[in-house]
Amino acid sequence: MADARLDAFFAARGWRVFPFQREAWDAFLAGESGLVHAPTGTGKTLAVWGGPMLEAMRRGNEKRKGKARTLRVLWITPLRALAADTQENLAEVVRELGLDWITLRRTGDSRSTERAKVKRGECDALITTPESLALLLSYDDSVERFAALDAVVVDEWHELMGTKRGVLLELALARLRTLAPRMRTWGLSATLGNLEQARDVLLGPAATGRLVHGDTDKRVEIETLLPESPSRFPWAGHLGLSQLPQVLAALERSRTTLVFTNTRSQAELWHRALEAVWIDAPETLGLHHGSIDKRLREQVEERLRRGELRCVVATSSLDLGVDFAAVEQVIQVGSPRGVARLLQRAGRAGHQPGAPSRILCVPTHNLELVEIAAARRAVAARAVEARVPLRNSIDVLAQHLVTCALARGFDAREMLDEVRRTHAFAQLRDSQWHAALALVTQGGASLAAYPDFQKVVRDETGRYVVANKRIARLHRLAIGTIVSDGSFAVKFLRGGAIGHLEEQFLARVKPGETFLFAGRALELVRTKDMTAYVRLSRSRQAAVPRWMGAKMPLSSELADTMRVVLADPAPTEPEMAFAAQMLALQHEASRLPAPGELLVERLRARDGEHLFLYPFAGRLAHEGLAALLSFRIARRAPASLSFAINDYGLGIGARRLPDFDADALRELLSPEGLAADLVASLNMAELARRRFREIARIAGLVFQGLPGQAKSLRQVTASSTLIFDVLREHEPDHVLLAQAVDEVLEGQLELRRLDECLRRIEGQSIVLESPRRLTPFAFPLWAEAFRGHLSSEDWRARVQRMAEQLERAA
Amino acid sequence: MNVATVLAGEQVVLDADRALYWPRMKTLVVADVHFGKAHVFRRAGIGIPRGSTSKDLARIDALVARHAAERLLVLGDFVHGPSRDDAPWAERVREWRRGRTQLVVQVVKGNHDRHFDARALGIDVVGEPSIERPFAFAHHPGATPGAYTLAGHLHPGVVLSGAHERATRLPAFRLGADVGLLPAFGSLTGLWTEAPRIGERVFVVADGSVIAL
Repeated sequence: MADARLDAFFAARGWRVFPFQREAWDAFLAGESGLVHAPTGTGKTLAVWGGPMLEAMRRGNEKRKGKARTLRVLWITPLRALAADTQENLAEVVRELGLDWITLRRTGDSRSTERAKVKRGECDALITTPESLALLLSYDDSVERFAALDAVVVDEWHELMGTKRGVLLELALARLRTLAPRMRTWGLSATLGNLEQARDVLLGPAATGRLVHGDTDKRVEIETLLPESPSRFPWAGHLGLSQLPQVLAALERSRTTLVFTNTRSQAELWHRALEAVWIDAPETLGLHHGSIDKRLREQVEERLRRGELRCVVATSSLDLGVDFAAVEQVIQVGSPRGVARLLQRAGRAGHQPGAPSRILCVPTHNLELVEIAAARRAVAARAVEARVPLRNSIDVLAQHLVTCALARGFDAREMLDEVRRTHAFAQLRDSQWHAALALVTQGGASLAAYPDFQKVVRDETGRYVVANKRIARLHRLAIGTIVSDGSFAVKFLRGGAIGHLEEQFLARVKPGETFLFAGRALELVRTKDMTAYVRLSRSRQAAVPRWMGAKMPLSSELADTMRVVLADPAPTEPEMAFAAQMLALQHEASRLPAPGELLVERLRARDGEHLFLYPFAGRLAHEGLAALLSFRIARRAPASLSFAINDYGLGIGARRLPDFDADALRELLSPEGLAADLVASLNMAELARRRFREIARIAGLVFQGLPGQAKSLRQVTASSTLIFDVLREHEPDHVLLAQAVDEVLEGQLELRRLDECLRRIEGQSIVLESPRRLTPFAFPLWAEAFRGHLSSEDWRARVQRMAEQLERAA
Repeated sequence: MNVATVLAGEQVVLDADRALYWPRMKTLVVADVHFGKAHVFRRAGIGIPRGSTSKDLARIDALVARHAAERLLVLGDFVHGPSRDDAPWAERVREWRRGRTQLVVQVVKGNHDRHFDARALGIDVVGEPSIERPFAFAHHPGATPGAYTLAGHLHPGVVLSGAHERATRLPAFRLGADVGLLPAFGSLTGLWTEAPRIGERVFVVADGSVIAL
C-alpha cells in the first residue's frame, strides 16, 4: 500500500522506478546502511529519500502533542546553497505522498525564526551542513534531539571525503550513532576510483553496508575548441583569452552555456572579456564564484534556473548543486586537471535521458592540448581518480572534543572508543589521544602546564566539560573547518554587499584605485573594520584580485595518460595534430622524451642559470621534488635557489648553478633518504608554517577575524605564524606541529606520489640537454614566477643583496 | 652585531636584540614588551607554551649587562591585557624588579597599559610624551615640536625579496626625519610591514645582527 503510493508518485510524473532505487529502498527498509553511486540528475535523491518515506507511510501518521515532533531524518549537504533546493524537493515528495512531515533546514544562513523552530524540535526531517550539525551537537539538548533518529543521509559524500569537513562529519556521525544506536547511514556519491572505500569511511570501519550503483553508462564526449593557427598559439599562460572569438561563436550555437574556469581571477577576466563583445542584452551574461556575495550568487542561480541567462562564467562554485535544466552546453577553459572533475562538469549539461554529456575544452596553451587528448583516453578507460580519506587529523579531533564537552561532557574512555569507531581515527595511537586531550585540557603536552589555561575541565564526577561561558561562546563562533583567508567584506558606500576579498590583495590597492570584482570595476574608497567600501568606477585600468587558494594538481591518472599520449599520439586525436608543430620544435631544440627517459634541460638566461626537469607527476609532487633538489644542491655548496613548478615539470634557478652530469643528477634524484631530506629542507619549515594556519584555526589556537566581530576578539588575535614559531621554540614536540609536517608531506607534497616518481626515474635514463633558448616545455616554467626559495647562504649576504631590490615607496 | 649611529645629534646604539641604547644617559630603550600576553591567551583557551616572560626578562638582563645600562625605558605596551595582580607572569616580573633595585625602570603608558597598572609591579609609569631633549619618548608615533620622537606601537618591520629569494618579513628600526620607530621587543609580538618612506633610515634585525639597508 505504501509502495503503491510511492509508485503512483513516480507514475504521475511519467517516471518509472529504476532498479537501483528499488534496491536502495529495500535495503533501507531491511535496516541496512549504504552508499548510492549515481551521476547527478538520475534520481539519486529519491533513491535515498524513498526509504524513509516508505517507512513513515507504513508507520502511519503519529499522534502528536503540541508542536514538538520526533526528528527522524537528518540530511547533510556540503553546500549551504543546496539546502533550500533540497528542502523543497524533499518537502514536495512528503506532500504528494500525503505525509504530515515537516522539513526544516539549519545552516549558517538560516534566520533566527527558523533556528528557533529547529531548537524547539518542530520538524521530522532536518537539512543541514556538517558545520551546523557540529554546532547542534554542542548544545546540551542534543542528546534528546537526536535520540530517535532513524537515518542520516549525506549528500555529495565524494565532495566531503578526503577533506577535514569530511573528518568533522565522520566524528559527528560516530556521536549520532552513540546517541541513536538504530540509526542508518546513507550516502550519495558521484563516480570515484574508490567507491567501496568511500562507503566504508562513511559507515565506519566496523559496519557493513551496501553499495548501490545507479545508471552509470552515460556517454561523455570531449571536444576541443582548436585555436586558429598552431604557430600563433602560446606556449604558456593560463587565461586563454586569445580564444575569445571561437568561444563567442560556440556560445551563439547554444541557448545557455556554462563556462567553467579554474580560478576566480580567470573567471573575472573572462567575464570582462565576454562583456566587452557581448551582443545580446547585457543582463544575459552572468558571473558566479565563491567570493561573490551569496545574494548576488543566488540571483544568478535563480535566473539560470528560469532560463534567462545565455552564459554564466563560473568556477567550482557551480560544480555541485541542483540541475539547471536550461543549460545546453558546458565549456571548460584551461586544464580540466582531473577525470572526475571533467565528468562532473560535463554532467552539468544535457539531462535528457540517454543523451551523452558533452564538454567543449578550451586549451590556453600548447601542452594543454596534450592534456585534453589524455583526458579523453582516461575517460574512455574510466580511469577516475580515487579520493584519499584523511587520518588522524588531531586539530579536528581537538575541536570535536570541545564540542562534546560543551554538550553534556564526556567520559574519556567512552569517547576514545567512539572516536576510534570512525575511519579517520580508527588507528589513533594512545599517545595521540592523550596529546589531543591534553591540548584541550592543559593547552599543551607538558603535564605541569599552565594553571591559567581554561578550556575543557573535569567536573566532580570526572567528566570533561566546559565551565567557562566565554570559552563556550568563542568555540561556537569558531566551529567548523573552513578557513577563509583573512577576508575583508566588500561593500558599496551606499550599502549593499558585493562579496569578500583577501587582505593580501586589498593591502596593495590604494584608495582611488580601481579593481575588478564580481564583474564590476570598483573604486576603493576606504577600508575600515575589515570592510572595504567601494563605488562603481569608470576607469578602464583595473587590477584583478588574485586569490591565494591552492591550485588543484593534475591527477596521477591524467598525468600518467599524458606521458603515454606524448610518446604515442593517435592520428584520431585532433589536439595532437595541432600540437605537432610545438612538439617538433621541442624535439629540434632539445628532445621529446621517449618512455623510459627523463629529460633535463640546462640553460642560461638573463636572471641566472636554470635547470628544468619534466617528470610529468603533477604540481604537488613537483613542488616536493623541487624542494628536495634545491636542498640537495644547496647542501653541496652554499647557494640561494628559487624554483618554479607546474603540472608537467619543475625549474630550479640561481645566479650560478654547480656543474652536473647525468650521474650527479641521478644522485640528486635518488629516493634514498627522501622523507628525511624533505623534512630537513628549509622549505619544509615554511610549508609547515603555512599549513599550520588552517590547523591552528581548526584546533582553536587562532580566531579567524570576522567582519563585525573583530573587536571582541582583538586581544586574543595572533597570527598563526607567531604561534607556530613560539611552539617550535618552546614545545618542538607539539602534536599540531607534527601534524603540520605530516600534512605537508602527505597532502601537500604527495610524498607517496613523489616516491613513486623517483623510483620510476631510477629505472629511466637521464637525458641532459643544453638548449640555447627556452624550449616549449621550459617556457611555461620560466614564465611562472619562480616562487619557492631555499637558501644556505648567510643572512648578511642575503639581506644586503635583497636590499638592492627593496621596493621604495613613492 | 650592533650598529652605532647618530640620531638627533646623539650617539645611539641599535642592538640586535631589538633595543636602542642611549650611552650619554646610560638608558636602554625598548618598545612593546606585551608581558602577560600568553596568560591572556591561555585564559581564552589558547595554549601558548610557558617561558616567554622569563625569556624576555633574561633578554633585558643581558642587554642591561651588555651596555652597563642604569635605566630601562619602555615605550608603552609593557603589559598586554587585563590580568590579576598575582598572575604567574606578574609574580615573575615583580620578583625580577625586586632583585634589581639599582636599575631605574620607567614605562611610557601605551594603549594596552590601560588594562593593567604596572605600578603594581614596582615600576614607574609616565604619560606620553616624556621629553628628555633631544628626544621625546612616546608610545604612539607622532611628531613632537622641538624634539625627536622615539616611539613603538606599530611593531615595525619590512619585507625583503630578491630574484632568487623568498620574500621575508623582518623586524626593523625605522628612523624617519622627526620620528623613529623601535621594533617590538616582546617574544610574543607580531609584525607590521610597510614599504619604507623616502628619507627614512631602515635597519633590519636578522639572525643576531642589525643590518642597515
